[in-house]
Amino acid sequence: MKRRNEEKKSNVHVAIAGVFLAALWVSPLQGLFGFVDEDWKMEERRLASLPEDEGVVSLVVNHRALLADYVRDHFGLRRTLIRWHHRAKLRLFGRSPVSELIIGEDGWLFLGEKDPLDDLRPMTPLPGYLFESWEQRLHEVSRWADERGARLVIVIAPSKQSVYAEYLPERVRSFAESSRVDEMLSRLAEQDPLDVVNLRPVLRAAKRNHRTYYRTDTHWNDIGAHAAYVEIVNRIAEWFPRIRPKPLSDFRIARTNQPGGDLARMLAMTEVYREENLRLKTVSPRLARRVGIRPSRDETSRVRREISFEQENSDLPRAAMFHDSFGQLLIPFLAENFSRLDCRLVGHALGASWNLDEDAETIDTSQPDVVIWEIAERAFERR
Amino acid sequence: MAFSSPVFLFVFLPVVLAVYFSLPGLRLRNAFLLLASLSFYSWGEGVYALLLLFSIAANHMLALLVARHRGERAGKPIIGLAVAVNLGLLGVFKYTGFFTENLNYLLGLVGGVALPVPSLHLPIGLSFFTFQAMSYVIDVYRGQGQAHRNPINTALYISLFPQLILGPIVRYRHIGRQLTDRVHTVVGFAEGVGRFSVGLGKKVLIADTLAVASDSIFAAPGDELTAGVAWLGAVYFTLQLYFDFSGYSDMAIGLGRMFGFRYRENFNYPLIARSRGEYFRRWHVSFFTWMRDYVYGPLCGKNCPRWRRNVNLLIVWLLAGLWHGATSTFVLWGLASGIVIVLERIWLLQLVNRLWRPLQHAYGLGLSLAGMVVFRSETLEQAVAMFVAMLGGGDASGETFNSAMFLHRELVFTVAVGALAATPVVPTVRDWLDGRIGLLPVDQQNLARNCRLLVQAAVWGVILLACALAVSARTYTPFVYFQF
Repeated sequence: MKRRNEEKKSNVHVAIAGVFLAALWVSPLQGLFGFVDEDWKMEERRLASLPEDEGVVSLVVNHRALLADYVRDHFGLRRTLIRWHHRAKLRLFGRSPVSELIIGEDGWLFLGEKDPLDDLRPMTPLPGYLFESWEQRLHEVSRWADERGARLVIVIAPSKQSVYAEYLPERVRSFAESSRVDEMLSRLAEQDPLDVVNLRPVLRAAKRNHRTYYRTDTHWNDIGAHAAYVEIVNRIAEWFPRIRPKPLSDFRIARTNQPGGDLARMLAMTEVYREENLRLKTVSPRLARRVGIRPSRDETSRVRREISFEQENSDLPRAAMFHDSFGQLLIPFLAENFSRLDCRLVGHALGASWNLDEDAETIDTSQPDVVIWEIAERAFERR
Repeated sequence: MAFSSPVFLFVFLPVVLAVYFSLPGLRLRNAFLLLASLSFYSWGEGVYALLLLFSIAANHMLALLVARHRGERAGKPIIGLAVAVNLGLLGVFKYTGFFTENLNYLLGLVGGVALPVPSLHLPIGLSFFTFQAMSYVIDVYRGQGQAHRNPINTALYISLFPQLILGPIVRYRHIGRQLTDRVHTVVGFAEGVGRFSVGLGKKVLIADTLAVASDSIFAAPGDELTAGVAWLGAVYFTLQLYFDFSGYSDMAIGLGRMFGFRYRENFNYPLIARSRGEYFRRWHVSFFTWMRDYVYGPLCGKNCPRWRRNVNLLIVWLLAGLWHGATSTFVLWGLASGIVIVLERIWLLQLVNRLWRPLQHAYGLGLSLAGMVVFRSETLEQAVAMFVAMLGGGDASGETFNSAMFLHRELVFTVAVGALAATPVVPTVRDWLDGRIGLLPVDQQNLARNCRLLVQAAVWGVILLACALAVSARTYTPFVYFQF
């Protein structure tokens, strides 16, 4: 009976064969003739491209890996399928469709790295090579500042999960209690103490009044940046008593509803995970004015850049800041407290190569009294 | 080129199917299918495709020679040469490093100088197409098939892309005639679509999901594994390997069916087996029947005493372990499986058969899990650590790894679906339905059959769509910051 059924053709069989063949061609045809949306920037990487002036045969024979990458990045309906997948996975299983990202409670998103559990899991002791690498880097900066007669303050911007651990999923919440930074700092303190501002306690305290981090972004918001700024300036005031941080009452809070931040972008769901942004607007006019903004000389770089501010009050000290993306929001606040502030964005968190002489070339000429070296906590987790 | 890669699904398969079915006549279609198969192989292996071509050429000529001298004295050395050439290829590319390392160990014991260990690339699918090629020459020698004069047919038999890299190991006696005489039907194509969809789903939706968890567990230090985590690792990997491998076989069978070939089944629900012997009659059937027919059979001859049969079984199992990989854990896996099977033949099975049926299944499943732990472990030490943890002998606190981490909703759902799909529930329901349909009045039977087929097709469609989503999502590699 079964055999007879198998052999008996019906319209359904024809439909199955036809629909399958048609479905197989939907993606290739869309890829060949469909509208290509160039605004797809969710992945924050260059999609694969093919060498120009190469025929199909040459590509297949000589550039198979490149061709496979190209198909991987450009096959038809890719973006639609990815979005559907991410939404389905989130809805069905409540799981992050991106392995580097943790879906927290109440719409909070967190960054992990590769396996999010790995970053949050209590670490085995900090590997010696990593400690030595950071120790060397920190002392290099310290020497550089000493040679110029400048004070150095090292600022560590906490990861979101070490301030808002309560929004992590329960299964990993306890892991956020400890951090490699603590271990790093205590080991450094045993040797040659550096002036380090660990902002975690400050931000944990500040969150009692206002949210200090974006829900859908890795970074602190204006309020978090302000809390950090107050702590940094208070530390610098120990050497330069003339400077005082502007209190929060000098600002008003403006709330805006905007597409989600970098983590929502990683999920390709900036519209699903929207952000209520708390922005600080200064009540009094700003004193500092921007005197220079330069993109990096490296033409491939989009994020590295320099920016400088000046104000008339020459009694104030001059400062320079090496910073990563967390430092961006510190700049408008800090600029008000120094007669000149030169900022240089460096890619600690990107694991970029470190070349102090090159990175500090322009800052060196401004002869700062204070050097602020800001770095994200997560940079220490990099293996 | 994996079947679950975008290149295969969104470029290779649509193009190959379209061109294949637009060509007139089987000869042209075969020639094109050969071209497609060689492209498929060389896409991933580059110059190592020359090895495949060498195997094809050598076995084609040797099969013709064997056919000419079949039944003559000259036949034996030719078949010996064919076996030596094929095993030589396998030996050089797969086992040189392994044997050199072991030789160095022995040399070290007697104070000898260690030899440099060569590091040769192992071409993908070498173990599969080599066994398939040997089947061709041996079947011709045994008179169980005709040697093809047309090299395209030989080449197509050895390199046909659906089964080229991961089996099933298609036997020449089963497929030889289909190379030159096969029928393409809509029913066959539709069945192939269904089988391919199910296989792709097994691989992409079940195996790959479980692989993430089992990889994490097997990568963890042994002393950090609690009993719960270790058991989860064993269960996840057992299901992962079954669905990965049987999924590939399903895809191969389905693709073959689309092109008019009928391959034999390679898996028959091994996880429901009630003994180790039964397990391997259901697991990777094409390989173990190959070993039975081309190794165990010739070793034993006709009047083989029982003790020799058992010794030969152990030899076959040792070789089976080695075939799976040139490492000590595969050797141990093969030998241990062989020993249990010999014990079952001697007395163990009689004992097991007296047990309550669920306990028999528990026995079979327990051995499967244990076997998989050895199979997955990279070293013997790792396997021992896993067993110690599974038996509660570890002292992990559960702070670093605990069961809750590996029991989230997605994994629980996948395991539940996997556990169901690892048993013959679906075919049982389908057969029951067919039986009920058969009882309907004749004029309603067609409608009922079509309805059942429609439901089945809808399920295949959902599986294919889910696979397309999952495959696409894997190509998504976002970064927080722009990568240059």
